[in-house]
Amino acid sequence: MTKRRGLVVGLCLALAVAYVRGQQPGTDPAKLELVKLADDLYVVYNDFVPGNTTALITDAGVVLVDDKFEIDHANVMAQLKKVTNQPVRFVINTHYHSDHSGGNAKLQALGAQAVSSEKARERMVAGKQSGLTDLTFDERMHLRLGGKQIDLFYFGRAHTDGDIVALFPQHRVLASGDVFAFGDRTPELIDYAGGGSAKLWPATLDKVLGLGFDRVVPGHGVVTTRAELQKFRDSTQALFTRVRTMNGQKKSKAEIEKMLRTDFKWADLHVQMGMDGVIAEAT
Amino acid sequence: MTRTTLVSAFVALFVLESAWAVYTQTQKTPRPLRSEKVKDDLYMVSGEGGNVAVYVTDEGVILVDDMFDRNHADILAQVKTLTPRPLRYVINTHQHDDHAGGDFKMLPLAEVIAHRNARANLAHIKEPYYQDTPWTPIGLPRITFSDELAVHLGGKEVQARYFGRGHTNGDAVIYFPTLKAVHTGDLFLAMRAPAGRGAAQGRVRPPGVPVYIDYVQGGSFLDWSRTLDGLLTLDFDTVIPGHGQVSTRADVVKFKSDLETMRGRLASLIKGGTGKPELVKILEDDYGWQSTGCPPSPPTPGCLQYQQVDALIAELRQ
Repeated sequence: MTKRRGLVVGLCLALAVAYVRGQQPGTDPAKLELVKLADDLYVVYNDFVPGNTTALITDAGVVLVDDKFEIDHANVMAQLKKVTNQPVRFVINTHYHSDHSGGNAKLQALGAQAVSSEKARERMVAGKQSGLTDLTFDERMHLRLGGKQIDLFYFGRAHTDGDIVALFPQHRVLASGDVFAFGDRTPELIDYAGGGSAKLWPATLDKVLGLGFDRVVPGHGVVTTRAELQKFRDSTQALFTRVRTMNGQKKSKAEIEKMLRTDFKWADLHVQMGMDGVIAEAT
Repeated sequence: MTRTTLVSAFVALFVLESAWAVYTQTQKTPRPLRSEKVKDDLYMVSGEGGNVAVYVTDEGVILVDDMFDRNHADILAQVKTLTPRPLRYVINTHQHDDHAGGDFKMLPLAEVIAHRNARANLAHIKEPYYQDTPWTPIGLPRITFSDELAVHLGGKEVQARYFGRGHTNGDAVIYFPTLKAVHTGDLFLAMRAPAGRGAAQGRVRPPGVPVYIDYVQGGSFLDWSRTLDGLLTLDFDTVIPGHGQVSTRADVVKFKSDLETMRGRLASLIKGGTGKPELVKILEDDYGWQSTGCPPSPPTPGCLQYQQVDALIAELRQ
């Protein structure tokens, strides 16, 4: 039991580290399933890592939000094939991490255009990732296809400095990317090397909460509600406030780490990526 | 019943006949276009309507604007003389039919991009421009943006930037950063205002520009110079104007200064209590506006400017 658990944790960490560093995981593709949100809106879901893929189906083609790792591409396409024969026309990357943008090159080869924030593309270039985005924007962009609309927003730093959210206004559904990951295994992950900020995260989510949606496809985890996103927003504020308080009390790094692991469910990865940054920010 | 049908038939016939009359009177034969090189891989196509920029990359062509609907075939022919690469993107500087009139025919061939206000104007008014080309089919861009959008193609980048209101409320400035070149759309025109009666009488023309402020579609004389300030924050030396010849940064600076001088003079006249008839006379004498003897369609530049006179007075009175 303990041995098995250790294996699972090890595997998860390997995947998680891989996804943050933009490397190929070198493991098997994720097991995918299709979750229906509406007749024309689906989530290609998998447990934990890689990220969720949201698919809007129109008479003029399919729009994807995120496309998992490259290794998942064939399976994503197979899932889509169950519900549509339309080609993928656009893929929107919520941020640069390759568990959300790894499928770009293969989709582009099939004729899709990839879209991201300017910052996300800069980080893809810096990381020498394949499948660089074709179109970028700084604050807002709107995409219309087959009578349907998708609104894209950049609201500021959070998980990275290039996170965008995608709103399907006709469905009142938001694909949030990793500014909101849902579930105990995917707590707040601050990619400081990628421009993330614990300090600004709550304000970014406040702006997200200004949009008109009821349901949320989180970056990771099951489809959930606006209320859960609100709770997550409050937890990002609580985390930052706690670290600032402990900084003020001159608590040691070890004590802060213990608090983050205990109260905010941080794992090794979160500590590695975010600890020094959040302590520095919360002074 | 039969009577109603007959009446309906008559009405239908009448409507059709009127429509045909408008159509035959307004369908123009396109004028021939020409291409010139502006900088490496950047060309300008001109000859009718607004200037078109052609940017050639290894993976395809990016166009800025597509003139009138009637120029479509010639634009494609011009591009073909420059490169065998396929057309990939068309970016609109704004929605007027002398700049975006070809969108409908471009949509099956390329991705068409516009500022969100430009698209909204097009969708809302359902006519790209006044009475000039009533039969222009509307092609709504699929991609819109708010402040800044970049197209990355063949290792090159083109930016569409929004700096605020001016000619309309949806004017995009198209920036070619590696070339230090811009396409300004109608925020900058490389042409003089038509000569007014004063010039004909030998008087010195005061500084002025042939501004057309499309108030119906959100234009603003007051915001225009702030918008040009935004444009001037970009690092460029070469300018493809909305209309007129390839220009320089200094020409844009001069245009802005003349625009402000003209606006300042008109504003002080209006605020000083100058009435509309007197103001119209000044506009006709000094800036070439035309309030009488205008052809029904298409309007000449002076007549077109006169259409905005009430809105302009209202704005400058503020």
